[in-house]
Amino acid sequence: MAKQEPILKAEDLSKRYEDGVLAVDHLNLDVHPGEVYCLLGANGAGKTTTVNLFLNFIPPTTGTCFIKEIDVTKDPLEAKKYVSFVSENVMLYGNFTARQNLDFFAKLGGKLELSKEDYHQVMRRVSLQERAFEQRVKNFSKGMRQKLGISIAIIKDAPAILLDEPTAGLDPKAAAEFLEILNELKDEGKAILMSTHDIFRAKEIADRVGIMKEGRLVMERTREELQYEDLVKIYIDYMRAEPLTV
Amino acid sequence: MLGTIIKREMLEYLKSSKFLIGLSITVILITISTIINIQDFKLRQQDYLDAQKELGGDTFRVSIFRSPQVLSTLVQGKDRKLGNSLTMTYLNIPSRTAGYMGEYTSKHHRYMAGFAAVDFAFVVRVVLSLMVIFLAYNAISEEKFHGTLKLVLANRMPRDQLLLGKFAGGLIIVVGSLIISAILSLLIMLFNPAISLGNSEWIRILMLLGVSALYLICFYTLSLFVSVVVSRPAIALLVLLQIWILLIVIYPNLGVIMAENIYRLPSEQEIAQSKAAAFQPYQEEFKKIREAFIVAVERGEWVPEDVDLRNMELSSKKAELNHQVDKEFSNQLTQQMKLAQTISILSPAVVYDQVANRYARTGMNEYERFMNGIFRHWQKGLEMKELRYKDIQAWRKAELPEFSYQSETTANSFVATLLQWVILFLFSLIFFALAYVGFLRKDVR
Ligand SMILES: Nc1ncnc2c1ncn2[C@@H]1O[C@H](COP(=O)(O)OP(=O)(O)OP(=O)(O)O)[C@@H](O)[C@H]1O
Ligand SMILES: [Mg+2]
Repeated sequence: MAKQEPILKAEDLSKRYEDGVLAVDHLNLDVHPGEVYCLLGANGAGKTTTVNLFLNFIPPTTGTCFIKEIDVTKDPLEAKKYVSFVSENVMLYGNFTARQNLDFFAKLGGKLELSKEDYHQVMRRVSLQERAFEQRVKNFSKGMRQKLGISIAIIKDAPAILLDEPTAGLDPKAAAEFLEILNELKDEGKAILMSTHDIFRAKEIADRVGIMKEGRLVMERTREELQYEDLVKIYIDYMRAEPLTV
Repeated sequence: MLGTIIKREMLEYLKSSKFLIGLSITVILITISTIINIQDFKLRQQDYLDAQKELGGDTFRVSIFRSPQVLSTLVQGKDRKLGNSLTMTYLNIPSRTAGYMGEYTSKHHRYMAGFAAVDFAFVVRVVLSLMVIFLAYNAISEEKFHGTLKLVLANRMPRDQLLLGKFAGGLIIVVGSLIISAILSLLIMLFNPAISLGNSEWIRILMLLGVSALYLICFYTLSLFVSVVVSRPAIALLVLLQIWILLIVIYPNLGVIMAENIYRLPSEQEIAQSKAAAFQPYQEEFKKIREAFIVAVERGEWVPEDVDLRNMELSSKKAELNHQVDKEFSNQLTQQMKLAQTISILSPAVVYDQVANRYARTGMNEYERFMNGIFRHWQKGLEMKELRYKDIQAWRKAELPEFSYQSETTANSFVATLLQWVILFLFSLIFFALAYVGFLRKDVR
């Protein structure tokens, strides 16, 4: 693969919360077009914080996040044009139907001229049941909501996609389907950064895997490297190791 | 983008059951209360007309009736409570209207007395303000809780625009509910032949609508602010309900109690003493005149004309002085009421009430104008009586003009309530600014 400019890039990124917790510690990371980057790490390792920094929900203590080479703290609105976001367990607007939710977020994403059929097509693509299209989201199962969540990301058609534990709580089949969609998006050239606890699936889908521990990126492997190594073993070893000295 | 947010926000409210329940209650209350209030107005109007017809040509005792205000159908105010009939002689000017004519002479039984408090102003002040709180208490916190706030802000959507859009969407719903209520009320009124509204009434109704909207916006911005600051919806609702009870129930009464204690009014006894003291300089002379008068009557002689005139002059002087003391007392009463209102000015409900009563001409201001008219009318009657001793020819021709008084003009009513508009506007502005600043700094995760 020819080296292109990364779409997502963190440079010397740190975040220290008000209470003194150093959640992200001088992190460097980049994700290229057509690449899936999986961020692994124990609870509290700093994955969600990293995603929030990319979306400028919180200001970094040091360093910079770039989306398409735009500094997200300098021009957050412009940067957000180029990124879609799928969060863990988003409830969406319960009183609205799947299509109405999709329509609302599509418009926010700048897609103003879509038809009902366009929406149905996207929902079919993520294999949401046909009868759910015009139903209120309130009673959707977690899997159905996550499918709708990814269709919101799809419809915005941004070059970068950030996902925070999107498969948490999904049954194995639903999770597999979900990752299948991610694979397709990757093939379309999206740069995908996903935090997850699912090592097995990470190994399956990721072009690169990073392991975070106490805010630091302690290991990074490419798909090729992982062919000869046992990711599970690496992960456990890193977790077992002594706490990092700051 | 803004349009998308506004539209969604409106839909969200329209789909919510709290809105449907709130609007249903409002519609039912408005319909029933307007019908009842119109009926009540009709009866009072009829009583008034009957009473006017029965007025005899008694030149000693002059009876005057206060006509009911047509806008009392929307804002009852004190129109009914203050009573509407009054009888005066040159010996006595009542300090206020006595009882309600209907209580004594009306054939109509006032079965709706208990319901009289519910009117358009009540629905706005209590029901709609409560509905506004229920609508907006979780406007922001719910979006945070459901994660949609993050999802929205992951787009090219500035925070201030998001807040503005949400504000505008809710505003349309709030003002829309108000307009629906008003239209319903007005339709019921228009289809009732007993009600006729002139131009000035229409303008007053529009002004009333305006101030009602502003009043509701106060509560809306307050709720929005609380929903930004308090993340837990249940707590936000609790806080808002407490503020609501404080502002609408406790605080206004607190103002009255405080004013009563700060501004003490003279007792009955003190008033009687003041009256006696005021007449003191004339007391000696009056005694003599009375004696001369009685002596003449007892002897079966004509009362000498100068005695008769002086007797009348002094009697009316006494009535006038008594009236001045009464007036002084009622001024103090007004002062006390104003103090209570000043103390309660921090409650939008009190401010709204003042304005609504003024616009409907059912408040104290209108009543005082009426009572001033009464005094002028009394003076005219006295002048006529005196004519008899001064110019008997003119006296024969003279006729007491019909009683009338000057209502406040619509423009003056508006100018008089500008301060209240400003207060309500400031409330809204402050709460909105707080919500705005709070939201820009809010942790959306
Ligand atoms: N708002 C906050 N204020 C203070 N500390 C925080 C805040 N949010 C997170 N932290 C701390 O920052 C660290 C990283 O948290 P983060 O949520 O990024 O971890 P994570 O890798 O996403 O964990 P998980 O797998 O449980 O989702 C933790 O120690 C956490 O306690
Ligand atoms: Mg997390």
